[in-house]
Order: sequence, then C-alpha cells, then structure tokens
Amino acid sequence: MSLEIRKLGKSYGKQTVFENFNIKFEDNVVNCILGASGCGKTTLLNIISGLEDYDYGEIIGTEGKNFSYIFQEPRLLDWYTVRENMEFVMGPLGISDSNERIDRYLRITGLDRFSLYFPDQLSGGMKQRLSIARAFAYPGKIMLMDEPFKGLDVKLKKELTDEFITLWKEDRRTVLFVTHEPREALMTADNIHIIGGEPCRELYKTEIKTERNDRTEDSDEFVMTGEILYSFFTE
Amino acid sequence: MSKYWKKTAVVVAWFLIWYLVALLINNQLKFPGPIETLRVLFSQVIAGEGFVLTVGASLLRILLGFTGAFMIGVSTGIAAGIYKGFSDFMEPVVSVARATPVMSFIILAMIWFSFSTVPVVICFLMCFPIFYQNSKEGILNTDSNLVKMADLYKVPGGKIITGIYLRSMKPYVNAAANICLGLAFKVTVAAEVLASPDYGIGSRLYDAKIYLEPVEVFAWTFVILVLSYLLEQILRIIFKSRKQRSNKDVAGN
Repeated sequence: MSLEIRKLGKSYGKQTVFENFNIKFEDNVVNCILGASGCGKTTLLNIISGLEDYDYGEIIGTEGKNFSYIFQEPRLLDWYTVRENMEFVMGPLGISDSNERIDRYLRITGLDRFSLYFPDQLSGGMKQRLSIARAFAYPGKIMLMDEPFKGLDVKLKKELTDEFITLWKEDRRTVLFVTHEPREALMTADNIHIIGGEPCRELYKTEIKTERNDRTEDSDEFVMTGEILYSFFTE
Repeated sequence: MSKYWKKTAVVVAWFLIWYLVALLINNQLKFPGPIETLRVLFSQVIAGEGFVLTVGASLLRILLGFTGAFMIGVSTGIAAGIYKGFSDFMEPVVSVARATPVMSFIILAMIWFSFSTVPVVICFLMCFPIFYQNSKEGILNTDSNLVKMADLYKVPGGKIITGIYLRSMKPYVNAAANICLGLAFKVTVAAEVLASPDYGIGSRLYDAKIYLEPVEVFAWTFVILVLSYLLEQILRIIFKSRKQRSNKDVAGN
C-alpha cells in the first residue's frame, strides 16, 4: 500500500502549517519533497514518522512499518563506537541478523576499518556516512531523509548522494527525501513533489524518467524540469 | 622536563618555602617546619597506637557519607530531571541543605545521632545537594535530538535511559564527585573534631589542640592530604571513559 496523507491539519498556536493537506507517495521509489525553507517539510516528515502529533486527517500506509531516518545532522552517540552506534538502534532484529546487517553496511560504506572509532574521531563526511549506514542496516520499510547533505561541500555531497543511491538500489525502500535544492532533487529523485504556500499544499508533482546515470545538467529533461522547478522558487 | 618531574619540582619548591617560613618564625609551637612535621608524622602519628583504626574509621565515614550522597543524590537528581513536579518538591530540601552552615548541621546532628555517626550524616548532607543538582542538570541538558532519534528507531525506554540519559549525565556526575571528595574530607574531619568519636582523624586533631601540639596537627593534616590525593586518583580511574583510554587519530573522509 502506498503512503498517502489525506486532509491533514496541523497548527502551532495561530500559525496553520497544514490545512486539508493531501499528498501521495509511490512505494519503493525515491520521492523528493521540494520546498522553500520553513514551508513545513520537516514537520511533514515528523508527522509521518510519529515524532509529532497532528490535529486532524489521515495517514495511510505507515501502519506496522518501521522507519529509518537520516537527519540533517548525524545524531550519533559520542560515547559509543561506530559499531555500537549501529547496534544501539537494531532492536527489531535478532543479534545474529543484526550483526550480519551491521557488518554488511559497514563494509559497503567503507566504515568497517573504523568500527572501533568514536564519532568525534571521524570527519563530518564519515559521520554522515555512518548515519546512512545505520539507516540502511535498520529494517525500516520507509526511509525519511531530512536534508541529509545540507552544508556539505559539493564533492562530498556528490559522493554521499551516489553512495546513498547505490545502497538504495540494492535494498529498495520507500524514500521521502526532503530538500530545498532543485538540483539535488533532479539528480536523486524518481518523483518530485513541490510543496509550499501558507498553509502548505502540494503545488506540483512530476516524475523523472531519465536513468540516474544519464542525468546531466544539460540533458533535456533536466533542463525542462529544472526550469519548472526553479519557477516555483522565483515567483 | 616530563610532567611527573614538573609536579615533583613544584612540591619540593613549596616544601622549601614552608621550611624557610618556619625558619623565619622560629617557633615550633606556633609554626612547625616540614622536617619536624615529617619526624612526628613517622615517629608518633604513623607508628603511634591505633593509627590504622583512626585512619580507617575516618575513611569509612567519608566513604559511607560520600557513597550515600552519590546514590541518593544521583537517583533523586535523575527523577527531578525527568519529573518537574518532583523537582519542585525537592527544591526546598536542597535549598536548605545548600544554605545552612555546616556548623548548624553538626550541632543538630550531635543532638540527634551517636558521635561516631555524626560525621557520616554531615558528609552526606554536604555532598547530597551537589550530586542532586549536577545529576538533574545532566538530565535536563541531554540532547533531545538523540532521544528523538532513539524514539524513531523504536529503541526501548530502558535502553534510552542507560544509553543516552545516563551517558549524557556522566560528565556532570564526574564533576560533582570531584568536588564532593574534597568536601567530604573537610566536613567529615570537621564533624569529628566537634563530635570527637573514639576513633577518627578529627578526634586526634582535637586532642592535639587540647595538648597544644601544633606539629601533630600539621602531621595529621598531612595524612588527610595524602589520603585525599589517593582517593582522588582512584576516582579518576573509575570515571575515566573508554573514549579517554582510546587514543586513535581522527579519520578523514
């Protein structure tokens, strides 16, 4: 069952963030939620994951499902080693399954050599890599990503995005990827949902058909869709 | 020069200053020098009757008061950090314990408890508010983003308490333990001086005062300083984290 939000309402005091908000996300693809800063993207993720309550409405397709989350900042426990940080969240699986998954994702992300290191002995990029490895090792059917590459330099951002896509291709899950950068959405997404306005609503939805490997800044779809996406930010 | 030799040089320099001041005052009854103090320390204090019992009794009282304050202070501090109502309930007790002069407590304790118990109670009363306050601060300053992360990954509540709250609290409890250890020695010995139980360093200090033996006061003070230093080192080992023991370089991208 795909993830769908129907007639969602959420206010903070007098400020209404969502009023009869509707959106539908396709299963097992990368759904990018694109919107200007402060439009309610993180609130939407928090509501879907259950971290925040909502006033009214319906969320369909999350029942009984676990969530993996890649936050803007890695949110690691400084007093645990790289491996222990992964073990800490692996409750739903048995010990042997957990160990197997942890080993696998540490190996794929190249963190296996650093499994006994503590987070503050790692660079910023490696910390975020660990956060991605943790999210994939955890058996979350739905993966929520809240601007996970914000603030990283261009090279590292590309490295981590490529790594994320590689991991996701091997283990496809429904991804909700929040960003405010049209370029990032164009390079990563299968579907792009633009949200905005006051109260927030879905303004536009499009599907990116070009294979990820063929997406370049001068490809036709990139240019055409890019123009549409940017128009929402310049209005 | 290594760190060890630097420390030794500083200690030797202060012994020299002590020696010169004593030489200048030139009155053993008022201000004994280090040589006389060390002579009395080894010939009368350490070799004297009941030294082990005296030191043992004081140490036991310090450990009982300190451990009691640690256990009750930390557990109530955690509860106060989690439940605002409990924090409000505890506030008057902690404020009174912090503001009341130690002498008032000692005198009251001498009315209510046996003389050998008074120093334990005083040590507890002085250390408890510090453990309580620091533990509460530790809980309140726990990174809520880490707790949200754990909630999202459905980490069980008990594991969140031990893996996030207690770990975040550790530096605060560590700081409290360091402050309290020094304080515990001071107030326990002060309470022993006033309550004068059969065995205790404070009782021996009181005897030295009665018999006008300042050199013995110096010698016993020396014993207190050495014991305090040793306990501080033990505490440092206990609280040393795995992270401090690990000594790896920072890894790049």
